[in-house]
Amino acid sequence: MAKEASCKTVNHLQDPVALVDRRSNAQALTPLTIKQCLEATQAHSDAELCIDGTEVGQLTIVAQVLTIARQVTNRVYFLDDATGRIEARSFIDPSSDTGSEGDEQDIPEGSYVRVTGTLKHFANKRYINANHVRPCGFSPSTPLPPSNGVTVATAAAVHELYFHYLEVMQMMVVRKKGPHPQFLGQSASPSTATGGGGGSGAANPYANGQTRGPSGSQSAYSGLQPTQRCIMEFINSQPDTMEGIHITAIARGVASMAGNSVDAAEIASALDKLMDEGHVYSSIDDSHFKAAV
Amino acid sequence: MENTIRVNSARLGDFVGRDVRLVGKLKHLKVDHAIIESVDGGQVEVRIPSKTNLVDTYVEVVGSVIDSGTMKYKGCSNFGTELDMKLVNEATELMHDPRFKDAFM
Repeated sequence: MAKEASCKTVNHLQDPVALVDRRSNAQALTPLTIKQCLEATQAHSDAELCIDGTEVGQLTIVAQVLTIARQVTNRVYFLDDATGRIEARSFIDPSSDTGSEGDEQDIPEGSYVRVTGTLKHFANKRYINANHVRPCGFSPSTPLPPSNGVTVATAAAVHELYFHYLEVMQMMVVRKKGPHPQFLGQSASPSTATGGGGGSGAANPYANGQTRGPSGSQSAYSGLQPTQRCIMEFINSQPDTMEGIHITAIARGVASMAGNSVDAAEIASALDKLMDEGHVYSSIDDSHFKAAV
Repeated sequence: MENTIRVNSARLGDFVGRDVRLVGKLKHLKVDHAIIESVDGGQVEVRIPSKTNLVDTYVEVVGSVIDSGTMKYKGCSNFGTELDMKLVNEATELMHDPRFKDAFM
């Protein structure tokens, strides 16, 4: 696969933004098909597994259980989701009471399940270390319907399967193009909302901004106007100095991030708004700004 | 070959000799064959052995494709009595989209 290259450590070093991106992805829950799990690439034997150049941390799959092997310390689910087959190992916590194990025992072979866990490999074989296995279409709070041994799937279960396939596809688009502007703030400009072609260059700074920095920053800036968000991202991307960043540097930075020139008055009014809301403050004089942490 | 591609009736002909999964409504269940109305509306004849597990209104059949309108039963899952056929068809079509093929086939 040509995508392997972007996975290598070298690229991490060259591109600090990509490094931050991948680290935060290690905590993300990625919907995958089994084929993607089996084809995930690795730069070397200790490296993280990557899909489309993005590190896979937690993953979730929906698949049919072919067989279940119950052992003393773990259960092995042999799964098939029509794209491939993989084993999922679910270790039984000896300290937990039998209540939580009870619902897992009710999973009949042939039924569809949602598995959440991490991708592992042992003796050249890939498997899923499952944190959680549950029947499709049921939340943990709703009890399983009485099994009559015939109907293994309800509408909710089947629709969860297709929901999962669509979510897998959505994530493929997100990995390629960055998140849809709609998810980064209510009032993204129309040029970034279109996404494709020429617009993708402008969309990238937003995409990076979403995952950059401490986890709190994402929610703190997500409600901002695009220009305001650009300013915050630019300020945060600059080295932290005593005097802060000059307004002309901000204007230049925002213009280069957006890919076109931005009106000086717009920058000034956006900065005023950001000051009002406490995101930035003026430092040594009225034309230098620092981000409030 | 562990990969069983999800298809609708229109795509059946592209996978002759391969194993596929066909989702649809169980229209008729006869001694040696069943008629499934695929999620795209087309009818598919499924040659079945004497004993199958085809019960529900909506079913998923795993089998090998004989020709564009016929397949041979290898297994099935019962999908209950309610199913959004349009949604399943559109999701199935997207799995064959060049943008997403990598993940599915």
